Amino acid sequence: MKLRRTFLKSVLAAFAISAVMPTIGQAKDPLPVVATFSILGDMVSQVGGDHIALTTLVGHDGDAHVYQPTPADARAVSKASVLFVNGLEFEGWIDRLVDASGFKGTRIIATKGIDPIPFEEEGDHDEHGEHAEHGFEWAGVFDLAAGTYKWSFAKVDGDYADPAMKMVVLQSGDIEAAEEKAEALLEADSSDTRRDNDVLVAQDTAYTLTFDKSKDMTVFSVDIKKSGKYAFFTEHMPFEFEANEHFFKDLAGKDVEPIAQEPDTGHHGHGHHHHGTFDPHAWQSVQNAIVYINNITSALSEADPANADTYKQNSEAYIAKLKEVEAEISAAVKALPESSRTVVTSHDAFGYFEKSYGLAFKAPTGISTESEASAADVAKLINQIREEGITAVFVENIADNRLLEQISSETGAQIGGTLYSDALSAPDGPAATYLEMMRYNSQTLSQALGS
Amino acid sequence: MSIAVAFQDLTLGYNRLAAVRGLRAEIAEGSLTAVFGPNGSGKSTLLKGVMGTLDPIGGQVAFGSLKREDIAYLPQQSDIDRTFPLSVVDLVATGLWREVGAFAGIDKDHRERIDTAIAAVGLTGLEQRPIGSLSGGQMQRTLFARLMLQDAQMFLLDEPFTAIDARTTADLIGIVQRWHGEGRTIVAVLHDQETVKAHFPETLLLARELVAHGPTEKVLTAENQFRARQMCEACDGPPHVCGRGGP
Amino acid sequence: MIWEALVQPFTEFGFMRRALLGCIAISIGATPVGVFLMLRRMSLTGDAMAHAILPGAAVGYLVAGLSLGAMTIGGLIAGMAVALLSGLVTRVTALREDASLAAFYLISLALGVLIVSTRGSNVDLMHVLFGTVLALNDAALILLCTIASLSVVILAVVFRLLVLECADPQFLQSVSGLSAITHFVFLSLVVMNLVGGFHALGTLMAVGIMILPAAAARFWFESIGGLILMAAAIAISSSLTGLLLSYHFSLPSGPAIILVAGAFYVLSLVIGPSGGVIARAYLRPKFEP
Repeated sequence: MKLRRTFLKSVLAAFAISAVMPTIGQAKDPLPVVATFSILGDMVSQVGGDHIALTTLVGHDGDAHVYQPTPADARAVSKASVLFVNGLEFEGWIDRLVDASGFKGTRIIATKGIDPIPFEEEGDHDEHGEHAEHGFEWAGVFDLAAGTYKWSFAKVDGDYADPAMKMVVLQSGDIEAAEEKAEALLEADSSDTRRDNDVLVAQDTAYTLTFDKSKDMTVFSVDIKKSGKYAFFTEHMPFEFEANEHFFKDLAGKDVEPIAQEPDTGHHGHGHHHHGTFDPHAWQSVQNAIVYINNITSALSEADPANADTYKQNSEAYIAKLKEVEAEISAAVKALPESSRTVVTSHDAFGYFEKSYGLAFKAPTGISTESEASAADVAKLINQIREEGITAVFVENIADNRLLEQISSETGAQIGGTLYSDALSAPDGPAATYLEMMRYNSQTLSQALGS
Repeated sequence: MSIAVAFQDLTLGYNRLAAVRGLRAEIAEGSLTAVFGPNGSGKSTLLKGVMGTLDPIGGQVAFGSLKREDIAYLPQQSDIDRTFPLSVVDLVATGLWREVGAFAGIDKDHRERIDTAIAAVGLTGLEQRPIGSLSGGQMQRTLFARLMLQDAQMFLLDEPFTAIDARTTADLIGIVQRWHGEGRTIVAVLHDQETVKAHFPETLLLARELVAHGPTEKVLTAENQFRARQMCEACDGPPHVCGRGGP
Repeated sequence: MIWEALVQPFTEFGFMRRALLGCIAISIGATPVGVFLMLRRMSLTGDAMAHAILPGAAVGYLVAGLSLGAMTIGGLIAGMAVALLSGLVTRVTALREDASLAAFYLISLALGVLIVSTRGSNVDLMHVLFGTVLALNDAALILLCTIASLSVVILAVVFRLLVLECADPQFLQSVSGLSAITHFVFLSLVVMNLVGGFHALGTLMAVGIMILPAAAARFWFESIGGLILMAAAIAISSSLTGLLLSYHFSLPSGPAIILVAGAFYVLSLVIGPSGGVIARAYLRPKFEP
C-alpha cells in the first residue's frame, strides 16, 4: 500500500518530467520495474536492491487471480523498463493491462524454465492420485494415415526446456485405455535412445529423445505403417518445445492437430503457450523460487548492465538464503509422522509445495479463488478428513475462509492457522517477505500437524 | 340547501400547466350533477382535485357539510390493474375499507352486505371470477358494488358509463338514481350528452374554465357548448396537456 | 437406493442440512415478496435493489472484514437509502419510479466500487459478496431465519394494504393515508430479503430465488394465496433439487439451485394451466369473457 502510494507520487513527478525528457532509465535514475504481485515483488527487490524503482501491482493480502487494475497501474506499467509477471495465467488481466498501457519494455515471465504442474479436470483427483505420480505430462491422440510425420523440438529462448525427454507411441484411440501401459513403459528402466533425425514407430518400449544442443531444433521422423489412431505420451508438454511452428507436421509441412489430448488445452494455437492448464502457484516450491531469481537476475542485468555485478551478488546471497529455508522446510516435513501429512486449505495453491516437500494438500475449491465449490467437493473433503483422521485445516490470507470454517466445525478438525499462499502479509505481519512466508507456512504446518 | 363542496377560485394542473383554471362553483348537498365538456377540458382533473390526489396550484376545494372521507370515488377503469389476481368478491370487499381497515377481519354481517351489493349489480354467481376475465360491463358492475359498500355521502364518478353495453349502463344509472333518491350527492364526469340530459338534473360545463353551471337544460345550450369548444381550442398548452384531463 | 440418493446426503453431512435450512428460510421469506414484485410489474426492481445493496455490503466488509453484522447493516443501509430516495424523487418530481430507481442504484453501485477501489482493491468485490450456501455458519442461519420470520410477519400485517396498493393504488389513496408507507414497507422487505439471500446465494442469485418461483407460479394459480404457496413450494423444491444436483454431479450450489428454479419456470411456461403455452393453444375459449 505504502509502496504504491510512494510510487504514485514518483510517477506523478516522473510524468511531469517526462514531458521534457521522454526517455526513461537515465543513467543515475533507478531502473523502473513493475512486478505483478507481492511475492514476485519481494523477489525482484531482493535482487534489484537500491538500483531499481519497483512498483508492485497487487499488494499484500491481495488476490491476484481476480485483481482489477487501476489507471495508476497502467501508468506504472507504461513507464516500466521491465515487467515481471508470474505467468502460467496467474494474472489473467495482465495482457489487457499491457496493451492498454502501451508498455514498451521487456516482459519477463518469472516461471520460465520451471517444470509446471498441469492441473487435472475437477473430479479426476481420485483416479489419478497425485500430480507427481503421472509418468507423462501430456497425452494426445492423432488420427494418422500411413506415412511419415515429423515431430520437432525447438529451443525456446535459447535452450531446450529439458535436454532429453521420454515418449511412448502406441496404436490406440483412447488415452485412458492406453495410459496404464504408457505409464508402465515410461517408468520402466529400459528405453530406446533416439537422436536428431532418428525414426520413431509405435512400439511397446519407451523412447528417450535426446535433443541436439548444437541445433535450434531437433526433429524426429514418426513412421506410421498402418492408418489409424495413435496415442503419444510425453514426459513434458510438447508446447514447451514450440518456438515458431507447430510441433507435429506431415511430410508436406502441414500441421497435424490431435483429435484428443490430456490435459485438454481447449484451443491450442500455433506456437502459443496456453497456460490455463497449469497450476500457476509455482513459488510454493523454493526450487522454483531459485528459477524465478535467476530469471529476474538475468532480466535486470540485461536492462541495466552497469549494475549487473551487484545484481549477481544479490542474487547469489539470496539463493543461499533460499536454500537454507528449503532445508528447513524439508527437515520440518520429514519430522512429521507419515500419517499426518495431509493438509486441507481453502484453494489449491500448494501443488508445488506438495510435489517438492511431500505434503498432500486438499481444498474444496479449485486452483483459482474464483471458482465456487460444489456440494460434492465439500462432501468429498469432509469424508477424507474423517477417514484419514486429519486433525487440522488451514485458512489462507487471501481466500474466503467461511467454507473452511464450516468444514472445520463439521469434522472437528481444528483451524491450524493461516497459510500465506498467493500474497505476502502486511510489512508488520508474519510473512512480509517470501523467505518469511515460506518459513512461517512451514512452521504453521508443523506445529498444527505435529501436535 | 347546504353546500357539499365549493370550488374557490380553483386552479389545478400537472407540471405547472393548468388543466382547470380559476373555477368558482358550488355543489349542493343531495344534487345529481354531470360534469360535461370537450376533451381535455379538465373534467377528470377536477375530480382528482376533489379527492386530494392532486394539490391545487391556486385556490382551494372547500368542504361544506361533508368531509373528504365521506366521498367515494370511481376512477376511470384504466387505473385498475386488471391482471392482478383478485376475484370479484375480493375487489368488492375492499369497499368495506373504512369499516374494517387494513387489519380487521370480515364478519358475517359484512359478508351479507357484500353478497347484497353483488346481487344489486347483477353479478351473483360470478363472485369467484378473477377480475381479469370480466367484460367491461361486468367490471364496472363490480366497481359499483364496491361503491355501494362504501356507503358514502358523496360519489365522484369518472366516466362511469364509457365503453359498456346499454343494458349495464341502464342498470348502473338505476343505481345512481337510487343513491340520489337516498339523498346522496353525486358528481359524474360524462361525455354523452343524451345521458346527461336524460338523467342528470344539474350540469357543470367545463372548458378548463367554468362555462356554465346550473340546471342541465339551461347549461347545455348550443351556444354554451360552442363557447366551450372554442375556449378549449384556444387553450395555450400543447395538445398532450389537453389530453391529460381524460376524454 | 433412493434413500441414498435423496436423503443420505442430508443425514450424513451437517453442511447439507444447513444449506437446506438456509434455502428453505430464504424460500419462505423471499418468494412472497417476489410474487408481489411480479404482480406490480417490478420484477427488475429486485435486480436493481440487489445492485444497490452490493456496495453497502462491500463497505461493511471493508470496515469490519467478513463480518455478518457489518455486511448486513451496510447492505440494509444502502438498499434502504436507494429505496427511500427513489421513492421520494418519484413523489415530489415528475420522474417515474423506474427511472429514479435506476439512477440511484447506479449511483450507489458506482460509489461502492469507488470506495472499494480507493481502499486498496485487494478484495474481489464479487467473490466476497458471492456467499456460498455451503458455508452457512450459525450466525448466518439465525440471520436467515430471523429475516424469513420477520418478512412473513410484516407481510401478513401489510398484506391487505399491499394487495390494494398493487391492484388499485388510486382506491387505496382515496380510502387510506397508508399508501406511501405501504410502498416503503414493501421495498424494505425486498431489501431485507436480498440482504439475507446474499449471505447464502450471493446478491445476484438471491434475486433469482425471489423472482423465478413467483414467475413460475403465475402459470399455475390465479389467486394471491395460491401464487404465494406455489412459489414457496417451487423455491423449496428448487433448493432441495439444486443441492442434490450439486452433491451428486459436482456442480456449484448457488447456480444449480437457481437453474433448477429456472427449469421449473420453463416447465410451467409450457404446461402451466393458467396461461401456459399449451393451455393457451387448447383452452383459449375458457378464458374469454
